[in-house]
Amino acid sequence: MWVYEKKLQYPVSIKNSNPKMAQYIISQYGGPDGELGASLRYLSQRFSMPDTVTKGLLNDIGSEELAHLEMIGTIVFQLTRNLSEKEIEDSGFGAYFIDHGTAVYPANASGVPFSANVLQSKGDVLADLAEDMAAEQKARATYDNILRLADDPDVIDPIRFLREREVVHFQRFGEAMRRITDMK
Amino acid sequence: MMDQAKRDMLRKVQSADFTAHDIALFLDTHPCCEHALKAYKEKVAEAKAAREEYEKAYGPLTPMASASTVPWQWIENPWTWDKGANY
Repeated sequence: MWVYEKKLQYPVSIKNSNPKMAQYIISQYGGPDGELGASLRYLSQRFSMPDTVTKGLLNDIGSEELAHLEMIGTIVFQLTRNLSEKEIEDSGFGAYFIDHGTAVYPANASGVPFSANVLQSKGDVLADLAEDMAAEQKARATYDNILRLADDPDVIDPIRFLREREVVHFQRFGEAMRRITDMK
Repeated sequence: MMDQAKRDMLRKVQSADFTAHDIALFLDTHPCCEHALKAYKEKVAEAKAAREEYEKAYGPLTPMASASTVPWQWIENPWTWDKGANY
């Protein structure tokens, strides 16, 4: 089970709205390499892990991904406060706005709703850990793409934190993979 | 806008919790590392002290830490996503 803590893992405090950036960043909420997919992937795969290292690691990283999901939702929420109709239309946020208003909804950057097809739970430790390592790199690359387009330091700071976590998780999954493949 | 003292105290909790969590992930794949385990225990103690200090001054971080009288204090703003909850 989980206990909710009334704090973010890393602070998010965005002063200026930017609906276009919100529409890009929502992909890390409900897109193919986003935090929802990451948490569901690891928290589902953990049930069939063969040893204590992989059970523990998937449990703990899967839980951290829920905290990242909350940070992304917070970023999107804060980027879409107090928008005028003109800002909504001019920024390209209109299509999202028609379906979801300024609510946070799990979709990718082009508006396609979240699908569990973005992840696998295979019951095979080598297949699952290899997917997990790739998933961390794909998420890292998505954060790099966001950082190329972001110019607000209030957005860049938490996105950099999230990017760094992908690198750390990749490292830990790699260590778990090596332990499995080195077993005699 | 969060006042400076509250913000600093929340940062201490976030920082200690995060460091403890990051060391825990390291311990997951290095369960026999005595050095990491020692660092983990120190960070957990620091996080516990920071949490107690914060909750005493500013209210509960978890519902179970609530010392609420009526009305139920847990639901009070700001929530984590609210502007002003972090700065």
